[in-house]
Amino acid sequence: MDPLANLPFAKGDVALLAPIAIPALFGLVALLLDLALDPRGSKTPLALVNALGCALAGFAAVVLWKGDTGTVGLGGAMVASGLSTGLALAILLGTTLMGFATAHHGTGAGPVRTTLAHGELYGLMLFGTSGMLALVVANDLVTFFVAIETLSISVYALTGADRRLARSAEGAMKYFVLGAFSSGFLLYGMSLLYGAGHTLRLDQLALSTLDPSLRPMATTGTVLLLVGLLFKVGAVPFHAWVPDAYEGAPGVVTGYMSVGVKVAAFGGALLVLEAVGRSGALSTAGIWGLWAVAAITIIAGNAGALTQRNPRRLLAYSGIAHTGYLLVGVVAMLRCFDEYHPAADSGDLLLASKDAVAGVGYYLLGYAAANAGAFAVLCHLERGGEEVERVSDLAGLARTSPGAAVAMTVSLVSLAGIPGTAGFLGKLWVFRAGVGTGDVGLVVLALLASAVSLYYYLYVVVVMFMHEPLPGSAAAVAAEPRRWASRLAMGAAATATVVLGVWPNITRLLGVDLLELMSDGAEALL
Amino acid sequence: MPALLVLLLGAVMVFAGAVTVTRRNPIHAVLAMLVSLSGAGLLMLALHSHFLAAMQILLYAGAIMVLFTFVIMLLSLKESEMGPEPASRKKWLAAAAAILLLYVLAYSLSAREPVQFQQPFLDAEVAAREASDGPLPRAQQVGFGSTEHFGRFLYTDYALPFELITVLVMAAVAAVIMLARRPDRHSLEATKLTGGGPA
Repeated sequence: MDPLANLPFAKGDVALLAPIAIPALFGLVALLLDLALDPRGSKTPLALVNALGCALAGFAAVVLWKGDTGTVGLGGAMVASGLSTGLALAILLGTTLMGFATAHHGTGAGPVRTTLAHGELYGLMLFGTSGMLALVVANDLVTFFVAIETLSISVYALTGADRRLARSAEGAMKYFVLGAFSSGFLLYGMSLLYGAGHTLRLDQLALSTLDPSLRPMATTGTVLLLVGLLFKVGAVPFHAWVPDAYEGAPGVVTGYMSVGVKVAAFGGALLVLEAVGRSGALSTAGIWGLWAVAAITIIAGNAGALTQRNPRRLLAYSGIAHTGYLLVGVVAMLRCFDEYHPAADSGDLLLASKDAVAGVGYYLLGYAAANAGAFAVLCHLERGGEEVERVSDLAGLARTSPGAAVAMTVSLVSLAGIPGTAGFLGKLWVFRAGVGTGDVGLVVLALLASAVSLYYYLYVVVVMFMHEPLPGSAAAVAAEPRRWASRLAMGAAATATVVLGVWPNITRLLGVDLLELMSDGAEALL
Repeated sequence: MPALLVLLLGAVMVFAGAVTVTRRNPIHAVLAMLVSLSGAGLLMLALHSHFLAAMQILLYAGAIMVLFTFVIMLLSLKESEMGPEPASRKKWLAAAAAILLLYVLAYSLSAREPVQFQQPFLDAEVAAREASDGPLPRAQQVGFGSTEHFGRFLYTDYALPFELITVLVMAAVAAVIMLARRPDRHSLEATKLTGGGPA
């Protein structure tokens, strides 16, 4: 008797795991390779291993995770669509770029001075990436939870990677304790959803018709689940950890988590919310609750960013603001499940909701490129383990290191959402969907907030281009030409940001049309 | 009869939970938590999940609580090191939030039918499986909650999360090695070689 006869899935389905397994394998390679490297040398071999793993995983995702209807694999444990492929590419882009950005960490004029253990750093980044990729294809609340924990454990530890600094330990501790607390909410929500829906599979939950007497239980479960997810994406009022963790963590880790965790958590949230929305577990009041969270997050994120003078803290609040903009898209997606919506059951509403899903996907892709670019510049300017701590340290960067200044400018302009960049297209797409579903007030608020955000993004640009370099600041010390890896990361991020904003169809030349991928994913999801 | 047992166990667990969060002495809190976790194990037994009940007792009540006790003993915190008592206003706020949460949970759970203790959710799962036209695992043929049942589910339906847990554990191991490493090892070496202090 064939021992595999009882498997609830085709044996070929195991190949669908490749994009998740490859980063984990390369993480092991990075851990071992570090032992053979000179601790005082540059870590470019590790960065290359990191990039190779990400490239192979991305290739596998593009080849295997296709399908405009969504490929249900492994007995229903996972479901892959164009959206998951697109988000996987965003995550892998972030990991690759941050890998290159930190390759020369600690090198400078003198001997290497760093307390970062690079083997473990790259290993944990790749293990976490594995969990992120599993999260964007999870079709089962168990897979969902294990994926979230895999990425969280990696990021908690990475936040405390700089053993020298008390603030690194403080950030890690805050993130860990609050994160464990949010995992409790997540699990409680899942158990209530299971009690109401009698299934852990998201596709079955979506199809199940909930008994009206069980609806309150399912709604409570959904709200608790949302609390856990909103914590991960840093939405107000669950954002308290974000500035401390972003400031405490080494620049490379901040870049990694600001991209990967956000993209993966939004990907997972879209999958879960589609299922609970369809089953009727999220009531109209629940959607309005999320509407309120989006509004508060946009306001608080932008207001907080206005006064920040530490570039990582600035980007932390900017990340909170972007979570708010993305939530506009999530609210717009949920509107098509709202039975009391004035345009309920009309084809237009469904179209707008699909638009919202595709928009959120594209927004995340652009956000990944721009944010990774900004952090790559900060990593590039690190000297002997000392990071850029003040925006004023960037004064005169345009003169001493024009490439870095331009890359930073492209990233910030994209984050502000100025036309010609990926950030603009993403915002346009998401906000248009928001208008389509009737959330005009929220979109107007988001637009006003974007205008405000120009102040703090362009302030950095003004400092870089118009101020004189401060003596002894990072910008004043001429950038070393040996740092080719972080230059590559900055250049690639800036190029991706511009290409995604001007001519997204050009990605077709690489065998993958990102715009189509997102639309297919939206089609498969809704 | 099972309902009475569940009520009794629930009362004990809630009481133990309350003791856990109100004791100042960490050892007392840990012992109360032990009672609470053992109660959860017995609850699983009442739900016919023998294997899970055994795991709950072995892992949570056994290994993890021993770990807690060891950590507390090794730290041997003194009263002065434990920080000030939280302000009473905060306590009242927390209590109000807890009561509100209790109300919401009680409301959302009260509407449902009583739990069927004999066949928890199995029928619904089997029906859903038949409806989805997928191959039926042998899990439903063996006793619910048995080791075999559990193992079959773990290695078939939950193969993906099971494999993913290996990555999770590996990440945790790498994380511990990284965080437990002596800081400044490389810098110290570099300093010794050049004879200069860190700038």
